[in-house]
Amino acid sequence: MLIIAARTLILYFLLVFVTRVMGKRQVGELQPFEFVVAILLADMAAVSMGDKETPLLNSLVTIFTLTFAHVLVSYIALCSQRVRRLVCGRPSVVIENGIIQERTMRSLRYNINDLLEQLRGKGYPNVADVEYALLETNGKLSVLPKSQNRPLTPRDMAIPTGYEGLPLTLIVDGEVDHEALCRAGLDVNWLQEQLKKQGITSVKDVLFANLDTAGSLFLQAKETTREPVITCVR
Amino acid sequence: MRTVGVLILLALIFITGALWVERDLVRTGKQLETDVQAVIEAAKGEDWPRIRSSVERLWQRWRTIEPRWNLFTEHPEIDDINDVLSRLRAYTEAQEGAALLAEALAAQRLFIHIPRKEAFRLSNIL
Repeated sequence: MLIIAARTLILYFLLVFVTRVMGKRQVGELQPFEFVVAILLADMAAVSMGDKETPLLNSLVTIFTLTFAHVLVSYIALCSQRVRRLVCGRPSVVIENGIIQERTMRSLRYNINDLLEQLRGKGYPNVADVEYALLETNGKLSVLPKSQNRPLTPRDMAIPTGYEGLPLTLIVDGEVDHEALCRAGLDVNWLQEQLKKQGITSVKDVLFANLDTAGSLFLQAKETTREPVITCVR
Repeated sequence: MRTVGVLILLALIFITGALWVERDLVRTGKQLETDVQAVIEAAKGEDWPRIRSSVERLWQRWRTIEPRWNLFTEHPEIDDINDVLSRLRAYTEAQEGAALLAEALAAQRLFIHIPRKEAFRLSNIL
């Protein structure tokens, strides 16, 4: 029993490491070859977890080899467009200028029902509203609607907008992100001062705090029923 | 915090149980090995009444231990032991000294090998 528990733990931590090395993409975003590698890794690990007769080293070697091959192929694909095309393929245009490309769809073995289903999923129940649709290499459909059916943007209305950057997370679970503070050109003393103004004595009592580009500080204390404080600090 | 406490408690219960199982396998394996050794000694002296009683004692002990071993070891190995012990009994009935000795040695090897294979060691994990 302990042997199986130990093998499971080893393989679990190895898989956590390997998936971190392999990248950040989710299952729905994987290329077909990445999906196959992920299934192979899971299968290798699952078999070795329960089967004591299979030497664990065999699985470790297989998992490391697969990871190495995967990272290598991904890296080569990153550098060479030809390799990328060979490994990942190319997106296919299935609707061009509002016309369904029958020949392309036949070569992809992609039927009209699949196309309509994906279009509905994207919020276009009417094919007539679509100018372009591309079947991406990861199997997802990208849709470009006709200009009359595009959602309205501030530019269409000539409404001026200000710069909106990424808010900086300053405190999470009572811990200060010094790097974010430094990036904002602020320091711990400034932060302490802001907390004191809100009646909070220690950083440890803060659940979450962030600062947006307009200079608004969002602050929520731990275990409180009070509404979060939003103050303009600039 | 309570969840972590419950998980730690469960892990401790599991580890304690697993260590107890491992010890039990070694202890019962040694008992069976001693019984087989008695059969081997008797077979070397061709003392058939003693062989018969030793084989019967071994068989009875195995019958009491088998359900526990069935829970914690691989089933094909339990089948191997049952096969070897059945042949041992058959050779005792037929009074086939050489074959009986061979089967007794095979049974002894199994009783030593299985607890050793189940032991929590790096070589067994890898």
